[in-house]
Amino acid sequence: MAASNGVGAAHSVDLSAVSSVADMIKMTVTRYRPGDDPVPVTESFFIPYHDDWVVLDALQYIKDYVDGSLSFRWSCHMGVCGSCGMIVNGTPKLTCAAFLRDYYPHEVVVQPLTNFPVVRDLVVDIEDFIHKLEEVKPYIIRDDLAAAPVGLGNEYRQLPEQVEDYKQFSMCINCMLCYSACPVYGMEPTFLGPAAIALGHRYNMDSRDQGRNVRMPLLGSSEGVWECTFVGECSVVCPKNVDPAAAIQRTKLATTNDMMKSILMPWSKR
Amino acid sequence: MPVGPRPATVPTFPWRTKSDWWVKNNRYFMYMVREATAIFAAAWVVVFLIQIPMMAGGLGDPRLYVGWLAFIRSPLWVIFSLTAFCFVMYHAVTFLGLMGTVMATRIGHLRVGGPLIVGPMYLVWIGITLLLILLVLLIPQLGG
Repeated sequence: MAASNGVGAAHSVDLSAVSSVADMIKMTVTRYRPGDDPVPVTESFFIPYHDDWVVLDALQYIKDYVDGSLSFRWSCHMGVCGSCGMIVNGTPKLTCAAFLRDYYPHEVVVQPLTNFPVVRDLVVDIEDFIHKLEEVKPYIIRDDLAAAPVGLGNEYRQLPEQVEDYKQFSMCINCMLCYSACPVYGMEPTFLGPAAIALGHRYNMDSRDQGRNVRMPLLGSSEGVWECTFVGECSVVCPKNVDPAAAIQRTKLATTNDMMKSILMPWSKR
Repeated sequence: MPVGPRPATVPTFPWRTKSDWWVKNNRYFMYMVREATAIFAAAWVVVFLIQIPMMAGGLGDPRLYVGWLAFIRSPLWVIFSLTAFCFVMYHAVTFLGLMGTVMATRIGHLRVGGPLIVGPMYLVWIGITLLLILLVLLIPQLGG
């Protein structure tokens, strides 16, 4: 059962008749069909309600039984892959972790992630994010990697407290909810963004890494941490408690320390 | 060293941030309030700087000093000062609250963050405030 409004509406039914059915929930999703829709429109579906369903289950039900053309991304269905991020009732969420029971009996409105161009329906283009992620070099950089012996006993060992320094920031699953929640990124697309900076910070804090000086020029640039005005919403919506806002502010502190050191101790490497 | 934005490789519907983005979420709204507090703090300081010569006796013109006394007793200035005080307090509280996140560090095996950083900052703030109140109360008595 489906109803549409806005430009490009394909079909409609008497919603008042349907809405009285028990154990049904209204799902309103954004549709954008390039070539057919000049702008994104909304479409409403009344589907069976199950209290153990998440929003992703409801979308899958619509795709399987109501409208097979509905497009959205998902993969693991267990909060690990970071593919199913969407806006649920105005908040960026992983739809595999957003239970219908938290919204029922009210309507659930699902939109594509804000701050990203829409490819189709609930699918956004992530090219810009992937590019920025690559630019911060989110991997361990070693000066001696080529000459390092490989084998038992030659691992780069760490103390538990050294792991704790970066562990929180290593939990990022690249779901882009933080980008969607960041008004700075929405207004200034040149901004490197929360997740990329958090991952840059994660490797800078890793005792095995030697690439800090490679990353800092970008992280410390005006498009890097200094574009951030500490709205803090990135950390609020993060499903893995990565706290990218903290990573950004600590990188600001690190770049400031670097600058002061370069003035007061020009002979110092950092 | 700009890196973006990287254009999409497929046809897309572009994103545009609307000017009212900050009224659709309470946390965005409170962020804007936090940012706006700086305007009140700056405005109060600018007016205060203008008042300094008036406080000092009008640089030889007593009429300026009398005018300043009348100005600081005016309801408009009192209301503005109280409003600015509330905003500056909010600014200070949010600023100190963020410090626990910004300055988190490790000293040996001990992780220092949150209350361990914010708590002493509040103590220093209260201590300096009490000291200033003491000075304000003592100076007229010392001056005889």
